[in-house]
Amino acid sequence: MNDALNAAHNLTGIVLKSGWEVLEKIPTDNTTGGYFSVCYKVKKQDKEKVRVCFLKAFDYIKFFSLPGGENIADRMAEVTNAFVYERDISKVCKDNHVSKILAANEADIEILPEYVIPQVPYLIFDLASCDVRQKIAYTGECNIAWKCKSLHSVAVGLKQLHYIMVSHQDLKPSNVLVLDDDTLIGDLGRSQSPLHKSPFNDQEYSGDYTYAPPEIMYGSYNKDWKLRAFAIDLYLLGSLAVFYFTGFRFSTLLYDNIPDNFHWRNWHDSFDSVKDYLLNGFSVALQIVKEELTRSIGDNIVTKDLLDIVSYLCYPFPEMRGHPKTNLVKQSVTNGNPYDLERVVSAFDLLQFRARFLSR
Amino acid sequence: MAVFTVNKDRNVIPNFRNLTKTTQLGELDSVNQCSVSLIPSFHDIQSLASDWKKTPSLVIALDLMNHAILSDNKSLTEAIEAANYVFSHPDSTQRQKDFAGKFIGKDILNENHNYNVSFQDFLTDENRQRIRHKIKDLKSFVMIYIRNPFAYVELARLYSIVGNKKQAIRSITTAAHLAPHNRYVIRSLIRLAVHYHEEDLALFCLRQNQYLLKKDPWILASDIAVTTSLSLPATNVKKGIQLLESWNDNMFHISELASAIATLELMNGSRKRSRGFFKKAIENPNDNTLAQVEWANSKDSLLNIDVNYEDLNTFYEAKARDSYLAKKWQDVIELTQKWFVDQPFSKTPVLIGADVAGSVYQDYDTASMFCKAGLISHPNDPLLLNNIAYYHALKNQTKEALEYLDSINFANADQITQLCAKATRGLIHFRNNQFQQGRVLYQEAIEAAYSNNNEYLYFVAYLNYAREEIIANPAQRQTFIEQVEKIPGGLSLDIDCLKASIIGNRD
Repeated sequence: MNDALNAAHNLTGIVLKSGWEVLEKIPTDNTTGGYFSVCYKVKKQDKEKVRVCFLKAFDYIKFFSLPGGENIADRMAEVTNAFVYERDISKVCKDNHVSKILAANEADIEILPEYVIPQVPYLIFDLASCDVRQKIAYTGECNIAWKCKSLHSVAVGLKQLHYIMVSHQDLKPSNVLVLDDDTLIGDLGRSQSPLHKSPFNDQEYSGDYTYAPPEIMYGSYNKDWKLRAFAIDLYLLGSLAVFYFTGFRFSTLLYDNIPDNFHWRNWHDSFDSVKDYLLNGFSVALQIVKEELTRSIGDNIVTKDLLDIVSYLCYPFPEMRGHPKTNLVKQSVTNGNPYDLERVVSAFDLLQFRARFLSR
Repeated sequence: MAVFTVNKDRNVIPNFRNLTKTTQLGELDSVNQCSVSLIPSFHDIQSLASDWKKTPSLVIALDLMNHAILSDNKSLTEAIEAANYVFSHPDSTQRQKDFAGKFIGKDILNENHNYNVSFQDFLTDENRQRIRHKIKDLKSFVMIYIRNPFAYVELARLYSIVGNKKQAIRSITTAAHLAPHNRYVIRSLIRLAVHYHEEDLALFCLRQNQYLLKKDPWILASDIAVTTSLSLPATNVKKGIQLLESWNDNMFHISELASAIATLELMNGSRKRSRGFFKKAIENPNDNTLAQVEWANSKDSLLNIDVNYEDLNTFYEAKARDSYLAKKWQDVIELTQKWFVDQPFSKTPVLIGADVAGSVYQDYDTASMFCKAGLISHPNDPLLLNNIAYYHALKNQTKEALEYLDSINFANADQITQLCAKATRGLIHFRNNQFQQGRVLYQEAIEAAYSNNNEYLYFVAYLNYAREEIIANPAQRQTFIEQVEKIPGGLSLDIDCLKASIIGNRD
């Protein structure tokens, strides 16, 4: 169907009933996430200042141009559920004062009767200036203090999500957004929550597999959602920290230091039977991280602290992952959660303070 | 006189190499072929590729490269572009360039962690220094990564190379505490324990692993080999045979097990059953199995098991034993050198190499070098010290010979070595023109060999004595030659060579 007949593609210039003025269309990829959405820049007068935000409109007409073989009914249900979940989880985040997550500020439906498909459901988010990949560098002035501050914000964001029983599952550099020098976690689209109807709740892992922790790649899943999902988030956070400072995901370094015979692609035995070799690869990978941190930050307390954080966040066995003290104390103290992020947030807080001090 | 124990019994005790090499050989592969249900979908590479196209930058290039490496999607055009970008970007770090180089096939580091040192290089001080440095580095490493069992195994291996038994045993025991059910750790421990005659430790470790003994043919093979070497009742043989009969997977995994049972059958006199198991063992063998087959062939010439070495370039021990049987002496020297570098804590390649170099070629420098190589992992070994003294004496370097001989701690020496040392001292006296003292010592050695009923030592001692008497007093040559000719041939390589050299001297 022609875009001219599709309301979702023709919002530019109009003022929505919610008061938002649609400024211009933002080009999106035709990849999984962007296929069914049309994005716009929107603005609204908010008291004395003008707020510029990002609007994501759902494009239902795309269902009619699906390649043959795809079941339109299934796909429609899938995308509709995703929209509803993102809208609902955004509301939960707002209601619980989750400040470090880029959740939708508003969700509504605009009706434009002159088009064949008149209804346009949309979500409005704060407009991020860029994702974190545009902010980080590895040589020269690589802004260690900013990186540490940014990681602290991400840790706070994860902690806030865990507090409301949501696991992000897809924490990666492209989903970490920069907004007025603050860092927020974006894209809750693949998150899971037993309290809300996430389309991915029945999956063991819903994020990108190239970021996944080893237990997932070797097919070992804890049946307890909380233990499984929170352990995954911790690994993703550690891996993100490694990427900030080295340009490598932790998994890249880990699998590079495991002989091919024990790589998850070639291993046909249990996760337990490969653990010794993973631990060996982990030690060597951590040694590489240490070398890289020492090269970029220097042999100082920040390197030591950061390495310490990475070592317990990226531990290859989920049962040993997380802050050692949190993992050791009685579960009743941490509300039954050995992956409680309180101490991790404190560690990042101290780290950002030390990094700031060091950069002075 | 020098003594060699080339023909001593051999069992399928596991080899002890570093983790990388052992892994490459496939000895640590899983024997359980349970299928893993997971088929991960790497769904986001197109999105990253699109980001790369829109805003090419170093960080996005790295992100895409990481993704392509982890999803094994190395043919994606954008990923190759990104790797090239990282490789040539002035701001990328050396390690980022290394990864990018590997990705696009420009491996600038050309990293080869399996350093290939030659036999001669191995004996240099630099190499010893390097081993000491590696030990130091590993000690620092285990201070941080205290739970890593393989670091302790590698420490044990390096300690065994430099002959530090106490630390080697301590390190391997720590590794076994950390990973009590890991095949590599258990087999390394067994090898080291047998090497240091601490078989109790090996047996204790095996008894702790009843579960593995039921299902892992590699561990079961080691158990049978250890009990056979100790002449203990082999309680797990029945289990082993059942496992062999029911095995329908990769034959490589049962190669050592079949070979261990075949050895036991051979020792019990059942050649037919032994041959059957050996044939099973060589269907897809490892080097340990082939070495065992060659040993068995030398032990029982009627066993007659053919091995095809075409694609087995790195099986040094087996090929060395094969060449020894085929009397390809130059090959034996080369292969024993490689065998030694492969397993530097082992004394057997040193003894075989020295035997061939000294006996066949009268190349006492090379023979002495072999023995000195053995001293790295067996410092103060009485047998090796005696052999070095013997080779120096044969070159008329009696002062050096005496120094080596005097450095032997006879409290640690067995009866055979003491007898040999006595004969060597006799040789030194002969070469110093102190014939009477030399004669007395040789006579004592010959009588001791005779009273011990050791035919081999008796002949070797007599032949050495005869050679010295002929050199000292050529007039008596005929008398001694008549006696020498009575010694039967084919008993051992050194006897045959000594005999030939003495009889040859007549002409």
